Amino acid sequence: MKRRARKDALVQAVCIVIAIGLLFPILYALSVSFMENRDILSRTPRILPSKITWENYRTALFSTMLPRYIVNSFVIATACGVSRIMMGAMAAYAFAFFDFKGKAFLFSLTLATMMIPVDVLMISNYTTISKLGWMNTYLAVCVVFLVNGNNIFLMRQQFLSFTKSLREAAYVDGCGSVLFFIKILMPVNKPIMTTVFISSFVGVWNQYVWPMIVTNKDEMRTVQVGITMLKNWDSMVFGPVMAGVIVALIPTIFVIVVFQKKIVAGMMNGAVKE
Amino acid sequence: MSQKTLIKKAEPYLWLLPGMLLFGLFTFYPFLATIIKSFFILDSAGKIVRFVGVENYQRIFTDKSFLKAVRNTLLYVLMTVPVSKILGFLLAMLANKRRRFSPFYETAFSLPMAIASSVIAMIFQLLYVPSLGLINTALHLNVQWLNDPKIALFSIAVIQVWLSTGYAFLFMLSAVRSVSSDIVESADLEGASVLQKILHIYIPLTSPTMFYLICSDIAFMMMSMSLINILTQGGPQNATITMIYYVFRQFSGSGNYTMANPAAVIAFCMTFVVTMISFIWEKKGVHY
Repeated sequence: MKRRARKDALVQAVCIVIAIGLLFPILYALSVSFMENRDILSRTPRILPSKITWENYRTALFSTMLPRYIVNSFVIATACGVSRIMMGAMAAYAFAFFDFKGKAFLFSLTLATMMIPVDVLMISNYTTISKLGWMNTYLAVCVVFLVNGNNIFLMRQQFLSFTKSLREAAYVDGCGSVLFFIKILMPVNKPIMTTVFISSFVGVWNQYVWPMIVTNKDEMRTVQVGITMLKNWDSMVFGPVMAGVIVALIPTIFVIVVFQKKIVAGMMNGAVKE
Repeated sequence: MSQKTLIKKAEPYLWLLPGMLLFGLFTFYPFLATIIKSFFILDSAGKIVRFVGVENYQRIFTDKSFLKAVRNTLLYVLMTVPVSKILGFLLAMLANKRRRFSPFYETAFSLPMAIASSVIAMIFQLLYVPSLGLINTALHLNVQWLNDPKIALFSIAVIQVWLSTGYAFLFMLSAVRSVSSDIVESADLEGASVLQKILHIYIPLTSPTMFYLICSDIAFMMMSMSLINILTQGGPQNATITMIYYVFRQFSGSGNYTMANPAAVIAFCMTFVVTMISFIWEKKGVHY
């Protein structure tokens, strides 16, 4: 048994070393964000700052548009998360509880949306957005992320475990369809709603290509697009950029660390079909 | 028909309306429009000028930068997909048994999946700076990571592998852990080595998850352009141009919609074919 304990300790040590190695780029960015420019530009490589400075954060937060980018991203990611819950649950409700003409067809269309990568659609969607005059609006950034086939599939699976008789019982008790949806179905399925919200929040927060295409005014940029533009004003000023990077990372890392189990459960349900 | 039954009949469609409307407008309409428009000459605002049939496709295959983009995209898939899956599997094997520090390193291994490509691109941009970036200075190298046409695509693939490994790890971890302990124990009793257990137990039993990961990742990698747009803009000398980046550059850079649409269609078809091939391969190779 002693050998076993030693092996356990060894494996854990190896894992921790690998973990630190894997996260090294993030840890390094964190360290650089506290470095003075002199340290960053020194010929001999520095991993830790010689003196901790908050100057980079001050520059990033007060002399650039970073706070505005963050607000934009928050608004967009929250709106898309809420919308994906609402529209997803509504569609899933129809698929799970009703029998109607064209149900199989509409459901396969929903699944088909997962086969079409959004990137292939960007030319036509860009044309649509500019024709509608929506360039540089929140709506333009959000509109392609408002509903998601995978979410619908996931929620439908969940709702199917809810027997139809329950809905009929609710009917008999005078609970209408809309009331049943709002008062019973949504609250009971809170865990799956949370999963959908969190995963879509992180997903939309991290979007880069589409928000970049439909915005060209600085004040409408999202944080992911914005931080890549911070470098442009002076190619060698990395300190404030790394401070921006860390600020942009905080919400997603927080969400992942806190809600990891929920997100994983959601992903697995949607992915591996038995 | 009375009003009440009409409402009842219409009800499911009303629940579906918002979602289906959005799918129609922003998924199916653009998808069909892209295919149809790929057979037309378009002006710089994307409006149809005249029908030319397959001429656009003939022309695009004589465009050197598009051919380069096709090559690069396939190369990029080959450089990223297998490596991140193997790493994810190995990490999952290491973390398989629950131990005291498991929560710490499990979170650490999966963290990259929460990180946006633009964030990690900015960090690696600093690490890759030839004169004072940490990689060159620490290893006493003088490599032009992003400016050498021979290396640039590889440098970007490294970042992508870093990004994808966490996701693969999470999936493989749950697959590895669902392998029944009876099988593993009986193998232990027969004195099977670690390697034998990996080859004959873990790899076959986790292959459905592995297959799902590979398929979805191939499709995803065929469409990549974020890192490239941030770090190299397809350069140096088109060394990092991918199909989707070609599409993006055509319509957004030069307003050349005529070439953007067929390129997007080809990118889609190739992704579709590659996914189909892996489906067929799955039927032959994957154990359930």
